[in-house]
Amino acid sequence: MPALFSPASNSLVRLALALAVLAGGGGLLFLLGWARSPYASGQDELIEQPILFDHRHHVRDDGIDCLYCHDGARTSAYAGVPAASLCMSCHNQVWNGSALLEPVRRSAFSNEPIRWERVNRLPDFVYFNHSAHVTRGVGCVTCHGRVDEMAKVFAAAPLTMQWCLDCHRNPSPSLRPQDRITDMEWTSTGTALGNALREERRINPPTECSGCHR
Amino acid sequence: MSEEQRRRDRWRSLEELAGAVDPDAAMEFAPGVDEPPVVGRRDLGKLLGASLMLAGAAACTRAPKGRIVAYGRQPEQNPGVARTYATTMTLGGYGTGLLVEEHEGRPTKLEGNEEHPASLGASGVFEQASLLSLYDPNRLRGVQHGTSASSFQAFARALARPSDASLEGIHVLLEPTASPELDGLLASLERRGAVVHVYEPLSRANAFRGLEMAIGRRAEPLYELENADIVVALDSDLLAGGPFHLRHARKFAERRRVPSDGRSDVGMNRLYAVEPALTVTGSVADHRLRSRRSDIIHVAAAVLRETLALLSSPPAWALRVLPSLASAREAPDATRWALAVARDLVGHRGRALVAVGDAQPPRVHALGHLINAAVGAIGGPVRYVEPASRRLGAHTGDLASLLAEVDRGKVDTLVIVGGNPSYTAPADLEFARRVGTVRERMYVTEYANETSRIARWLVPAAHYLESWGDARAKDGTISFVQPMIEPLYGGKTSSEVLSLLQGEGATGGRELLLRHWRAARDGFDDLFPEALKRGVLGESASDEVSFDEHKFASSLDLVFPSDDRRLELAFQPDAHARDGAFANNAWLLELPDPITKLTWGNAACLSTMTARRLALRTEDIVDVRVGGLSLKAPVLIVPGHADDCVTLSLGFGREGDEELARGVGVNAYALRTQAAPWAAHGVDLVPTGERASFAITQEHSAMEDRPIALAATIDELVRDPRRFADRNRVTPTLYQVKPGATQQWAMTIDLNICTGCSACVVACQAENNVPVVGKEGVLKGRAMHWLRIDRYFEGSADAPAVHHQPMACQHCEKAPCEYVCPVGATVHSDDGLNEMVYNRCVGTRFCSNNCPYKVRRFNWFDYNRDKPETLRMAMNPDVTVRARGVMEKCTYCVQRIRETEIRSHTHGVPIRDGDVRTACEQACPTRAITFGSIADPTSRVSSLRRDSRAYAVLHELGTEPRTRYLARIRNPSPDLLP
Repeated sequence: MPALFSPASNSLVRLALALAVLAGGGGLLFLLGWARSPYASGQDELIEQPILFDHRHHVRDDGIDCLYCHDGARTSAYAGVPAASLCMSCHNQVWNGSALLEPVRRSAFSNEPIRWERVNRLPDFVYFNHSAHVTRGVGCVTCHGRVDEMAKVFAAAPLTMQWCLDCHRNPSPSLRPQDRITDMEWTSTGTALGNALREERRINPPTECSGCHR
Repeated sequence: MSEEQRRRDRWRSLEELAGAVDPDAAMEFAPGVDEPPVVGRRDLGKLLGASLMLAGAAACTRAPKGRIVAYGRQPEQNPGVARTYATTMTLGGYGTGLLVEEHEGRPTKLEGNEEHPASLGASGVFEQASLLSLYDPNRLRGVQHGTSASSFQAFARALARPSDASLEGIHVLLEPTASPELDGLLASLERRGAVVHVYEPLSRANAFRGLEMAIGRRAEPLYELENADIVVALDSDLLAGGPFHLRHARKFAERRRVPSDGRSDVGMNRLYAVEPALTVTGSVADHRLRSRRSDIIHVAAAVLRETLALLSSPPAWALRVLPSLASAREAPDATRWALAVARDLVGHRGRALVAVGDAQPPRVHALGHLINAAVGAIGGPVRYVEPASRRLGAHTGDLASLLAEVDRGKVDTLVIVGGNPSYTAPADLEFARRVGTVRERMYVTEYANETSRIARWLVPAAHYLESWGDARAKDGTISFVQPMIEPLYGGKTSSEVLSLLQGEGATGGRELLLRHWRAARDGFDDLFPEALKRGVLGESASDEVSFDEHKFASSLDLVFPSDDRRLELAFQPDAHARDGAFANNAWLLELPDPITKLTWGNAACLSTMTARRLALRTEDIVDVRVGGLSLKAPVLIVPGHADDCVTLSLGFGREGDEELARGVGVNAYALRTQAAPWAAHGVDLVPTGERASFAITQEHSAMEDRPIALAATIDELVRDPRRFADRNRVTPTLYQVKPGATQQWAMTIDLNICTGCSACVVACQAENNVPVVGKEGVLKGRAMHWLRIDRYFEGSADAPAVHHQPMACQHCEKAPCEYVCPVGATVHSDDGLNEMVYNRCVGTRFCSNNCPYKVRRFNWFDYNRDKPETLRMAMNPDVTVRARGVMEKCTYCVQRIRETEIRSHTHGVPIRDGDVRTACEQACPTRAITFGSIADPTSRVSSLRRDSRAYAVLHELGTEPRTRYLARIRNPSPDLLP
């Protein structure tokens, strides 16, 4: 009786096995890579907000400091989004009849909150603290990018654990003088400054799990 | 010590003592632990498979979007930063000052207020758990009239009276209160003809009447345990129950610390306790005499007699008293005991005291005060002060007189404010039936309960965290109640409701409070902000009472009850449901009793000998019959229980609308009568042939007969101060020790002053979002408490010594759990914490298998899903809410450590010793738990680790636990040594 399969079929089986392994491994690699891709992390994605708020205008043209509106950044875990009443501290004088600002006025007068779309989102098991970073020399631009150039704000960083740890393991390049925290254009003069700042403030960021996961 | 001896030396249950532990129950993961309640194993497999596939699919989607909900108008707070306010919780009429931690307007944690005399910074189980009651979804929502929903305005129209109208026919029934504001309001109603009645099932009437018998006037006794070398507790759980118990425990512990070198001349105090069933106080006593409740009067008489006999110059009143003392009954063992106690009392004149429990009749209280007077305690460790209010210590007679008025048709409108009299009133008063004839019945209550069935109007009561008000502590100190949150269910305070009778329409609680105080005290508006902030009004403690010593005991007639050897039934306030007010609190229902370790219910407790005589076993259901009343109750045999008596705790067997409370335990009030509120005689226990099942945690996680909870007497420690040193050595290692972070966290637990009160367990549960698993869950060994208190008995089953040992993750430097985790979900941090990373955990449970301390807890189910909205508000936002399938355990409150570190960084101030306090440490009434860094050799925890009593549990395993224990030292009387 002739062999059911020709000798060549051995090679075919081997090839199929190899392909299966490659596909499995490749699939895994794809998933791992996919999870780290800007698509999955939502990095760089423009987000529609309920109000056409333009950071470029407020930060560049008006020269309003980040901490004027996001005042929790120095003292709290959350930087905070300003209450409509804070917007109205200027806008009851400026553009107080603008139709674009109607939702802000409504919110400030009725105390009905504005629901902003979240741009930077961390999972619930991550406890990030703004004050620990801002008061220690990490500038806004380091994680949030050039918000002063964004018409619509997008996430400038992937916010993956790897990305956090890169900085926690080597914080010096990201440190800046305390009066440059909200400066969007300041760049470091070199590693010597970062090292000096790290030395001076005894900065030793946590890399153990409970630093962020509790 | 032979192996056999050691095995008998410490035991956890009678089954273990007899060597008959059910091996299934002792297993770490008992059979069935992974089975769901309704669905079978196979069905669950399918469900799990399906959900796993869906979960996998869900993981391939992008991260969910979120929204940021901005304030419309910015309130005066910084989102993300917790704030703390002072307020006051009232229990039994007495206030305890608390600090409330709130996040964005929702209270999430309660702590003691160091400035308040009743707290001194500590909190108890009820204070801790009262937070959950605030958010209880079963609370009454909105006003009801008959069976239909109504409004507070409609109720106000029904109750309001013009300000000049007579209030004749209006009767108010409320719980005892020492609130100056409410007291003033009630007095003004009384002036206009209203009648106020006070009822409380756990009344302190006996204490007040007994003191009145002794000194001829009403007064409040204060016990200053810091000044007492000898403390005698006669049926008194003064360390864990009643007003000022937190203060008692703190001051008791201060006199119980043993110096490192074990010198015996430091005046370590000695505690004697006489009681029917083991209480927390009895369990820490150096000598405990078990005695039926009704026999304690004879013990008290014997102590007084011996004391007077030992005094070289007895007081003048001794001649008046001595003849009647002769008629007290002699019991051989009690006499020897009484003699030893009397010797100690007389030997420490002016530094010894006797405290008597509220369940004892007034005569025993009087005897206690006579002993105190004889040994010079009065003016020393015992002080008599003006009672904080005349509405404290109400007698049951007050309720009876209300019902008599009802029967005579004199009551037109009955307003019941708080309490649950239909359930708690003595059974022979038939409260529910008799008040039915009253025309208008109104009830202000937190829950729709037994009493709400007889009411036509139901008004939701405000929780104290939603209220404005004031309160007084046992020593009279005034403190204020301020709301932390708007009433969740439209609750109203007692004052807000009763003020309707003043004819001024509905008035807010704050205005009522201010109105009272502005009238009562000049310049109050200047005092108020400071008093609110501190939590106490300065200089407000009561004055000391003076009395004529010549007339001392003149009105006392000492008659001793005739001997009744029939079986006695004693009622106890439940360690967790109290009088029933906390019966719907899941944290308390699942909290193991300090002695029996029983959860989710109560039981008829018996001694081993009595159970043998009656041929009863644990979990047999018996019919308890006394004086025509009967109740089916399951039997629990408890070591150390007095013979010939059965104790039942109050507060269970509820039939109201509270979902959790319904059907849990049995209702002991059904057997309670006016004549016998605390002890009844002639009880029959008739077996029914039925069996119950108890959710007892004591046999879970058995510890294999190894020496765990160490103890010695003070003499043994002095003789050999290095007796525990072997268990505190550093084990040599071949591995290089890595230099760590600047802080190295560690904990010590002093077993000498741990009373087993369990406040730490509830505090941990509140702080760390620990779920409740229910009775079935406890039965299957799924309890989730990160911190448990192991209770060991030592010696005979009749009169064992008791040891309490809080047990949580030991944060081993060489942690066995870390080696076996396949996914690196439990790892070590640089500052010495054994970390649990929930987002890595896949639930293999290898770590728990390999943990010698058995302190890891596995989430068998998604206990936090489908939680009502209000209960979610109770969650601590700084701690991850764990889902199904992950392991969890004590983290040393890492969220508090990291928060303190961040604060230290942002403010540029170094962390000092004591800046980080774990939840258990902060709650502990005796400060038995100390947390700190051992990198600092001067920290408290470092010096405690160098103490001669320090030891590591299971030291021989070389795990180098960061939690060290300090061995318990007892101070027995030389006269009572065997």
